Amino acid sequence: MEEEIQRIVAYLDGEMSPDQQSDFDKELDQRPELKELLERELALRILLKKEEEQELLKAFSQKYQELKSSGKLPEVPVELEKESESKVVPMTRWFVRIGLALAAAIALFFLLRGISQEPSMEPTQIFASNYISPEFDEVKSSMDSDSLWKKTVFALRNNSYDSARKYIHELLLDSSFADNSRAYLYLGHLEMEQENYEAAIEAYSKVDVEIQTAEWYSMLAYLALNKKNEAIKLLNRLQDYDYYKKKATQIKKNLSIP
Amino acid sequence: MTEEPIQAHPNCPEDLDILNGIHQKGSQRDKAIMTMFESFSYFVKFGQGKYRLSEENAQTAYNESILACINAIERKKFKGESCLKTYLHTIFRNKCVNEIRSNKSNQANESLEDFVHIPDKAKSILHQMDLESRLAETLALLDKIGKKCKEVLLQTARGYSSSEIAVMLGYKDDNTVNVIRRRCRASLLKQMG
Repeated sequence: MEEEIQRIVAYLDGEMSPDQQSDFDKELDQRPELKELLERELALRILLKKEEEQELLKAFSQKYQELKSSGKLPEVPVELEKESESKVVPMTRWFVRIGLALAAAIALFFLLRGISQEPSMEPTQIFASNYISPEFDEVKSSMDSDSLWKKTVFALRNNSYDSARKYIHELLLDSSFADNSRAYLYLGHLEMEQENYEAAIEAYSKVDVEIQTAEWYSMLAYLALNKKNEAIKLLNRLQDYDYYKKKATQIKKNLSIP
Repeated sequence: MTEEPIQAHPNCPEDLDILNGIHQKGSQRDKAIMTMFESFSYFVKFGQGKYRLSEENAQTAYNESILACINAIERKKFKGESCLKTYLHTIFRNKCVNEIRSNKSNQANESLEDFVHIPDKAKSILHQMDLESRLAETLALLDKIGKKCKEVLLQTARGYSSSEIAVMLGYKDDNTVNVIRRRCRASLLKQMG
C-alpha cells in the first residue's frame, strides 16, 4: 500500500512522465481501490492547505502586533491618504452662511411637505446591505441528463468558480444545449460572487427568461460599481414587478430618489 | 512546455523579489510572504479611514487579502499587469466591503481551484467526490495521528524540504523525516474509508 501511496503522491505532484501519467489515469478507471486512495490523499491535501492558511493568518496577526508595538508600521502613502481623508474645503464665513441658509431652506421644504426623507446612502453601502449570494439550484428539466450542466452546478455550489465558468462557456458553445438563458444567469451570478461586476452585467444582459432576477442583480452590480444612474434606470423597471417593487422603492429612497 | 516567466509591472520592479520568493518553497516562500505582508500593512490604517472599519476588522480584511493575493500569485493569475500594491488594493477594497456587510462568502475555503496544478483526471475525481464527508473523515483522523505526524505532513504541504523539516522539528536527518512522512501518510490513508 505504501508503494501505491508513493505513486499517488508522484502523480499529484506532477512527477510522472506523460506516459506514466496516462497509464495511471487508466488505472484509476479500472481500480476503484486506487481511486479511493487518491480521494483520501486529495482530502488530506485540502485540509493541510486549510491548516496552512490558518497558520498564516495567525502569523499575520502576530506580525501586525509586532510592527505596531515597535512603531514600525509603514505610513499610508500620500495618494492613498488623500483618498481616505474627507475633503476639507476651505470656506469663508460667507460660504458658511450661505450653506447654513440653504440647509435651513431644504429642511423647511421637507418639513412643510411632511416628507420623512431617509438619510442618503452611498451606492456601495446599499449594495452591501442588499446583496445576498445567489442560490444555484438543480434544475428539474431535460437538462438533468446533461452531465456538463450537473458538473457546472456542482462546481458553483463548491465555489469552484473557474471550473464553473469554463463549463458554462463550453455549454454556450454547444448547439444542443437548450437553456442558454439560465447559463448566462448563473454566469452572471458567479461573476457577482467573484466581484467581477462588469462581467456580471454583461452576462445578465443576455438573459431572456428570468429577466427580473437578472435585472435585480445587474442593478446591484451597478451599485457596487458606484454607477448610480444606471442602477436607477433598472430600479424604475424593477418597481413594475410585484416581487421587487418594495425593495426597489426602498433602495430609491436610500439613494434619495423620489 | 516552457513555464511563463514571472513578471513584475515595469513601474514596480521591487515586486519581483516578492513574486519570485512566493514561487519558491519553504523558508524562502515564507520570508517573501512576510515581506509582502509588512510592506503593505499600511492598508489596515487606510481601511480604518476609508471604510470606517474597526482596527480588528480592517486587519482581518488585510490578512485575508494577503492570502488571496498569495493564491493569485501561486496560480499565476497575477501576471504583472499592475503593481502588486494596486492588485492588493483591489482585493482589499472588496474584502472591506465584505467586512462591512459581515459576509464572508468569499473567504478562503476548501476551494477546489487551489489544486489547479493536479492532473485533469484528478481534478475530475475531485469535482465528483463527496468532498464534505471525505474532509470530515480526514479531519477526525488528522487529530488522532499525533502532533508529530501532523506537523511533518503540514510542513511538507507548505513546501519545506525534508532537510529543512529535520532542522525545524529536531530530527536526525532528512531520511528520518522521509520515513516519518511515509508512515504517517500511509497510516492516515489506511484508517480512512
